[in-house]
Amino acid sequence: MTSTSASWRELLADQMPPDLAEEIDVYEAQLDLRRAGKIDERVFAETRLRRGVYGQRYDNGHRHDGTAAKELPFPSDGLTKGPDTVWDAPGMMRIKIPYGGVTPEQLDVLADLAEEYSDAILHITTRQDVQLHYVHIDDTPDLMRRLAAVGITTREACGNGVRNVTGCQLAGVCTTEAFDTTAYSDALFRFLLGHPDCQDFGRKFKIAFSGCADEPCGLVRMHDFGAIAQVKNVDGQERRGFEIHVGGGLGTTPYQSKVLYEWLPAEELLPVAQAIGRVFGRLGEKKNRNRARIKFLVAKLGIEEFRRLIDEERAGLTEDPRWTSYLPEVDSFDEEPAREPLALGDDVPSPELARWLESNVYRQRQPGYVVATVALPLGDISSWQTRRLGEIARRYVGDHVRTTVEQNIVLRWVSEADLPALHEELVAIGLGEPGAGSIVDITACPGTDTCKLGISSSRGLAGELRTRLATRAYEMDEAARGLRIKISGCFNSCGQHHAADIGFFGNSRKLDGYTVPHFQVVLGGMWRENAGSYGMAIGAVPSKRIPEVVDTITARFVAERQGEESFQDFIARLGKKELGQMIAELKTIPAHADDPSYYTDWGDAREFTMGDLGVGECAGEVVSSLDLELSGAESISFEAQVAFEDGDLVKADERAYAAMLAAAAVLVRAEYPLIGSDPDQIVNEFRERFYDTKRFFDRFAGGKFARPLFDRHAAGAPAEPGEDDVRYLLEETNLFIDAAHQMEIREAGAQSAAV
Amino acid sequence: MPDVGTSRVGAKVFAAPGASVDLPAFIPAFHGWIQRASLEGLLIDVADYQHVPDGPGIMLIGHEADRALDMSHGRPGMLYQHKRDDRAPSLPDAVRRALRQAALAAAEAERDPALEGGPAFPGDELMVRVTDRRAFPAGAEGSAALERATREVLDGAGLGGGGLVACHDDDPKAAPTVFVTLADPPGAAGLAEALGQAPPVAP
Repeated sequence: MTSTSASWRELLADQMPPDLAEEIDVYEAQLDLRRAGKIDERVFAETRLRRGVYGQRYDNGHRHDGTAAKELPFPSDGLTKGPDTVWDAPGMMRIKIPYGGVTPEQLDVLADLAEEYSDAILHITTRQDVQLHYVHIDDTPDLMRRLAAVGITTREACGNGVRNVTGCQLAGVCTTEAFDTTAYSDALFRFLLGHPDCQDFGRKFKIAFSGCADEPCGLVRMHDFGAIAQVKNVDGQERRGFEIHVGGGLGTTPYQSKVLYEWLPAEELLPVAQAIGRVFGRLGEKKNRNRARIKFLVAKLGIEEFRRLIDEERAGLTEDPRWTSYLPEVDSFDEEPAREPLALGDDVPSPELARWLESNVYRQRQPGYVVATVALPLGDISSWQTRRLGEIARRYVGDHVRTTVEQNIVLRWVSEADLPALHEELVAIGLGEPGAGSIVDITACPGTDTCKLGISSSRGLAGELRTRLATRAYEMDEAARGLRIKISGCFNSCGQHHAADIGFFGNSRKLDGYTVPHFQVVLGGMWRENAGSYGMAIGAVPSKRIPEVVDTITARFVAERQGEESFQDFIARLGKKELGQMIAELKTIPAHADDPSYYTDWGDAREFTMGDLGVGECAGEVVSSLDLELSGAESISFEAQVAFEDGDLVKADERAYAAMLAAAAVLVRAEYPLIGSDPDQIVNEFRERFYDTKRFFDRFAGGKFARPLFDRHAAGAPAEPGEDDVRYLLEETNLFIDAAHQMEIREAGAQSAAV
Repeated sequence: MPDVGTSRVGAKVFAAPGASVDLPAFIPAFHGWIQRASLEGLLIDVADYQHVPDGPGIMLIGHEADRALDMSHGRPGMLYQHKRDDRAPSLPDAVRRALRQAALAAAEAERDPALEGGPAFPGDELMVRVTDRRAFPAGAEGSAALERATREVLDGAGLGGGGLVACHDDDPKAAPTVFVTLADPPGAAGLAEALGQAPPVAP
């Protein structure tokens, strides 16, 4: 290609699929209409979100620069791309990579786009997407065209639709899978993309595939819709099908999925997914987005009633040839290796290579071939590295590259004999680090780096932990080295902390009159068995002391582990009370005057604030005593968790309710000291003073965190509380208390700003 | 080859050979630059990419352009990468702007007390690239055009007289990139001044 003044639209006209090209033209026209003020900003926001064009931190045009909240004077002249979202503010572009499959040609284009429109960094997400940050909205149409020309779409990467379809990165080469799910995940991705029955959801809808039940790769149990491959003998013939899950999800309150069908024939996969889409679109919550994920609908209806509705809906669907037209082509997804399957030589590997072989290489079920994991620190890879990695892939594996939910990239079909040379080439571009899937391979969402919702710096913490652990990972006991750490910047769980051995999510607390970044510690989540169970929060610790938390827990695990005891069993054996005591001392920090470094976050020189309101932090006596009293509510919540762990669900339910009530009373008492202990009075006063006035509302979650108190108060104590119900109530109680802290911080900030 | 113009030109002023760089120190320094509006244009935020080998290091994200204490090409340097413009300037104008802004940022780093003991930027080793594959695709033609524009700018600023050596990136898929070595190091501030404007007074 030679230099030209032609546009990308003209240059790529013959390379883009016509439907994608037309969609992008329409999108570009909508940009023009919005610039001309002919589209409402809310409508435009949803339009761009459905094309993967997301907002980013500070896009309201304000930023606290460490001294004060300052306006960012973008030249937008009042033009917005959504409510409170300045047109010229940089944003994020999310790019869908179905089941993580990406070719070297696509890697080249992604590298170019990151370099030209972003910051020369590609970020791999926990859902196998690629994200580019600091992208200007004016650049997005051309960016989409260049992706379309290599078969990639950003459509429905964000917004209330079907998001990327994820799948095990080992599909097709795995030793434990029932069969390769790639063709099925690809078919479902294409079938639901833009499907009319999936355009009226109240919230997003995430799908995952797994080849087996026991391994973690697909993480099916934490998805809205999940499919686990199963082969069944029917009338003497082996038939492919899936165990179908619905209603899983993380977010503020994590839900484990329910089994919708224990076995569904493969030919029913697409029509059943369509039926689920129709039922969710029709019955799912629309007004309250905090209750709009399908997990709430499934929980509300019960799985039996939900199943009845899906059966009924499925029976009434009009036949669509696409349901089965892909089935004869399933074998076309079989992959051809680029190289001969030669065995690894007998040479003794260097210590560096030996470590990499041990942690980053998985032996395929096809003899002579392995999967090599390219561990990406914090999920980041530069444009330069991406281009070089594409070249390496071409030489060793051809098109067989996938992204992973642990924010890495795998090269499949590596001939064993090529491993030393491959490792050497990866080392040359800084991608030969060992430790994939170990304690140093930390997952983190973008957090406060770029996310509007981030509270604490998940990436900053991940970087710090990685640096500290990398230096001594190979001196650690193997059991501790194999633990997984996952970090989210807030309660929304994009870092998947609930499913980690050691998880953290960002929050904040008032200490010494200052707002201090904290992380809630969540221990004992299960990554295996498709995220088989979630961890339990045991307390919030200041960010700067989190490395000590990791040291304390891992040291104790190594010292007190019984035989081959799993980390989950170890955590369960210690119990919440003991774990709480273990981190109790780590909740303290020096006074601000003695060491202000504790009042900043990792990787950020600015004194910590909670957004634009976090100014000054000069809390008065009332605030301090209020904070102290809220810690009493936290203690009651802790009692609830201990009761739950002991199997006393009635007590756990009662204590959780009491904790919320206590927190509500603390807030009310600060304004109305004569409040008594009557629950009706407390709830009524709380509702009137803090809910109806929206003072308790989270900026993004609204009044969501108050609802559990109202609901539990209205319903009274259940005669026989269900385990799931109590577990959700415990999570919601923690979030209620957190929300009380946040309200106090917001209002103290507003006060000091006014002063 | 027609001069189609472009805004997306980047330039890097390499640190002195062998200079050791304390990357974390650039985080508070760049935050300070935002607070004091030390550089031209709208400065927005700081991005930490220390964990990316040979990557962008610590970035100072802006509206019109990003700056970075950049670690790519195996050596630290101050990078300026222009992103936005209402109209595409000619390639030489874009090169001049990128080089001058990179030099201004390098000079600011040399002056900043928060970076005391940090790297010096002699200004005699430069990189210029054009990251606009529509107007200037990867390949010899784009690199040649960029080299011509770079020579024109440096000669015009009186910097090429002592001898100017240029070479291209050996990666055939890389954006057109030219590495330049000047015979006489003008210093970061001198480079900025020669390219059109004296650096602002230190805050």
